[in-house]
Amino acid sequence: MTAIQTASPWRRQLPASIRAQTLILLRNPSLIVAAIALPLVLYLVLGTSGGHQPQHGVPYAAYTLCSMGAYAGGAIMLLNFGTTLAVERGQGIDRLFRASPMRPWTYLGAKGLVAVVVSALSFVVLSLSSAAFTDAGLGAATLAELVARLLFGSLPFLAMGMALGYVAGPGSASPVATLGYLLLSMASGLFMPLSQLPHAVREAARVLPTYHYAQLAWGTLGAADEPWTTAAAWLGGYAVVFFVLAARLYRRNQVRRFG
Amino acid sequence: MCPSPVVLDHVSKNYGGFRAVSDLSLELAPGQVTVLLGSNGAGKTTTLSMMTGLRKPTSGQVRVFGLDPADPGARSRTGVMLQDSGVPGALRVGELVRLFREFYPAPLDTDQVIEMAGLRDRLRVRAQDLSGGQRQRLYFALAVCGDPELLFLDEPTVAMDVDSRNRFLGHVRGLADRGRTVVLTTHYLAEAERLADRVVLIHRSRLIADGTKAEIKALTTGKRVSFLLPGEAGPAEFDGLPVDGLELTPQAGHTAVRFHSDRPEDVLSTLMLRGSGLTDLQVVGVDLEETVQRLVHQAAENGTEGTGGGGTKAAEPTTAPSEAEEPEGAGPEAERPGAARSETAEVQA
Repeated sequence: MTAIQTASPWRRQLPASIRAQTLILLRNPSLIVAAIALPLVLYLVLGTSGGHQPQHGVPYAAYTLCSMGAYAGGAIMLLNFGTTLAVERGQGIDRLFRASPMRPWTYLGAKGLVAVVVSALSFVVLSLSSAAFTDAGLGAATLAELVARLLFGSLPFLAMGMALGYVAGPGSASPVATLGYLLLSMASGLFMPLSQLPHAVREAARVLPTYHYAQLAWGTLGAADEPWTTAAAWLGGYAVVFFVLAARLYRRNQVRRFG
Repeated sequence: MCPSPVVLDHVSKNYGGFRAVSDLSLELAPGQVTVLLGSNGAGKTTTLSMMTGLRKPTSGQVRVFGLDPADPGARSRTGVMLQDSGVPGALRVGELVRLFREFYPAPLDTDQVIEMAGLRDRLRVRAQDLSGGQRQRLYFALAVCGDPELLFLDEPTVAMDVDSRNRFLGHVRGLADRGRTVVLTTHYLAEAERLADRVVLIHRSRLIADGTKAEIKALTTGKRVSFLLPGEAGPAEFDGLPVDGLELTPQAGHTAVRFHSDRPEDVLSTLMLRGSGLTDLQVVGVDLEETVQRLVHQAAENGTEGTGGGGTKAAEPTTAPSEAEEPEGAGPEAERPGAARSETAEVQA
């Protein structure tokens, strides 16, 4: 009788998978650009251009820092995490891992964890650049709180990314996510203040996850239209809904590809 | 006692209305190389997918070491080389091998694996930059790095050049000699000939022959003969001669003749003595496609074919060897098109 051993998934499979996913990300310049460079450039252009009125009583550069942080958080979860899930599925990489003794959650877990670390990095880069290059005038404690809020608020987008990764085709995931997320961001006032948007858009924005994500971020400066508890509740609700949806789509995909 | 490495118990697999595998039962012995042989679309890959837990049978049961093939306990004793899997292209050969080693409880040394796969000089090359044959060798490295007791190889030598193929087949034989159980699919008779302890012949979703190498070889004796005869020739000219599957095609000024024979020398000397003036003579060993056709034909004539069930028409006595195949890509696992006819040279080996 041979004892059936398996490699410990926690101690060996997960760290090795995280290492591999990190390398994959670091070697893909377009993902790094979308995750860190693009939000940074947008922030420096939008946040330092002159002629803007303070918003909700805070300097425009500080207000825009929150907006661009929220933009970056969602973009990383949808465009990095979600899109690469769909693309790698299209390449048959899921079959390679599926046939190995690697636990399926190790792959998803490693990818998700790397996405969270990259978004934290992106938030920190934005915060540091606001201190160095703008007149936002935010202290370390405020910036730390902002990063924490942005990290929490990115969770529903992680779930949306996973759902997208299992429903979109490898070719359509990226254009759908890019266009869809751009529209969501604009409608939620991430690129220009809500007050400058048409009335109908402002009304519609109130149910969008990006709107509440931005509210949570602006709330750090006391520049939000709703209390942070309301924003957090909306985001929590979105997270639950999309995690349930993502789990269903994941199972449907498993049946199709491995049933 | 130790359960058998692989057991298939009346396994069938349908994709929608397409039957890919019909009522297949097999039990593999440890330490043997079993070659699943069949033409494209026969059901080899689907069978392998069920053995590796990548597909669930529609009916019947598959067991690997007595477990569900998708169970981590079964997978950690199994190495798999798939035909249509991708690989994260941004990772280097060495990084991928080190990653896969971490999935297994007692892996081999990275060096040893790289050496075996012949990838020493490709260690720092990204997977996306490898040639087709090198990528196959990488998949082999990933399959063996966990030192598995059971190895599944799906058309492993596709895209390999002659040298790599020979080295590769040598390694596979070596693994079996060290007690590993190997299941390999191929449509090259030569590979079966070189490696197999056991050959399982699958045609249109059904098992049509299962035996040792010698037993299968006995089924593929004889030669395919073709030549041109001047003028119009009728079947009467071949009365009493040992020919099989005679085909006569009238052409401008002559008749193209094709048949199979176990004694081509007798047929040809008779025709020569008659002074029939045949030209453009070719005598070649049968290829697998024809062997399969003959086996199916024989099975149909003996009435042993088709125990009912299934939508397959395996017994249909056709004369056109490859056109009668199921359409390529009919099922999600349909095997790769191209290289459909195995080379006649392979059979003569």
